[in-house]
Amino acid sequence: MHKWSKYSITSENIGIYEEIFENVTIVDCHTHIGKDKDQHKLSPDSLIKAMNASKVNKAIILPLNDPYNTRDFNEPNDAVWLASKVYKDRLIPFFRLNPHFKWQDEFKLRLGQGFKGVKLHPRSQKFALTFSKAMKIYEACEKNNLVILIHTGFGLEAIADDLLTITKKFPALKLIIGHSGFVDLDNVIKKISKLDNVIFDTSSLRIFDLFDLLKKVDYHKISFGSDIPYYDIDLALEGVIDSAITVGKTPNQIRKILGGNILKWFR
Amino acid sequence: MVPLKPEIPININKLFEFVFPKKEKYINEKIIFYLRLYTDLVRAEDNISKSRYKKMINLLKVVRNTTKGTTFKEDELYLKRIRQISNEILSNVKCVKCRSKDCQICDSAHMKTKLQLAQNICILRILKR
Repeated sequence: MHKWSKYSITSENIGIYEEIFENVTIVDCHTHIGKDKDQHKLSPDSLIKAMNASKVNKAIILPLNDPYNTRDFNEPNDAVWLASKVYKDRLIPFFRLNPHFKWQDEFKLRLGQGFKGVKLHPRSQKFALTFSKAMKIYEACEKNNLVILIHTGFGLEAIADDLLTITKKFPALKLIIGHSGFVDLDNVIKKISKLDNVIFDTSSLRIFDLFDLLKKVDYHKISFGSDIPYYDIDLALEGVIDSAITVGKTPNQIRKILGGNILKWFR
Repeated sequence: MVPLKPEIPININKLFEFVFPKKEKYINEKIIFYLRLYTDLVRAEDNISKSRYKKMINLLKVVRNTTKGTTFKEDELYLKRIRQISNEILSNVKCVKCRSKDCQICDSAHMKTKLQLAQNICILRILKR
């Protein structure tokens, strides 16, 4: 039994934790390593330590918004690559790009190295979701079967139509909606939650938004994410499991949310 | 004494709470405690701005003090985390006040994320009372 599960035992859900943690592979689909302009930082070793403490098996790692390298993110992307070599069974590497600058060489390099996806951050890199140069990145990712994790949290507003435009234009593009588009959650759910190649990431959602997401979106399209170092992995995991239990998800469905859904994309 | 019929389901928690009403009082106190913390955290988040940061500072100081010296010893880890978050934001107040557009450090969105974490801890504690 997990260290925090004892607090959740009631007559309604006693035993459910044992069922969830039986043969589960937990994948955190939103973690960062490196250093950020805002002075947050996390080393690969610290990330693995936090994952071990919360029984998380794998994680998608993304570079932070490095203070010294925001044009092509070459150095932070290198750090992600090295970490994924050291912990090759635990970490799934994504590289970061800035659509405002030449990204094609960096893209080719990382594609050759075996990166699995791209992280885009419209707020930090100051671009709109449908910015013409960003559309070129979506196109390249669709063509090369790379997954995109795009930030859709604080700093953005009405994003549902833009996300719909992207998914219509690139129907084969696999898109992780970082933070589930909580700034425009209802509309995002209405417009894109039924599409095949979209997964909603639960990182740093308010509990009430998490309830909404779990109630309104097919559980196959939801994946657990923490957003460490801005959020705690164990508390994020606890929040997702307890919210899922509260809205009536079964242990099998919760296991899919915790890892099964996102792992399908990387097999 | 009348034996209980086996076909009637019994909610052990409710039975326990009926027999031991003290637990109910304790639970109610805990819910009120976390609602108070939650309200202050939401108000602090609303006041993350250059013009209202003093209100945010006061609210976070209230949160910090409220989490100290409670009787809910079983929740000490969670209360410590809420206190850490409050201290972290209080130590970065200069970023809320900052008026430079080109500042490399300030990102109030990340402060909001941290406050959401603290709010979520409160709601989860209420759910798991």
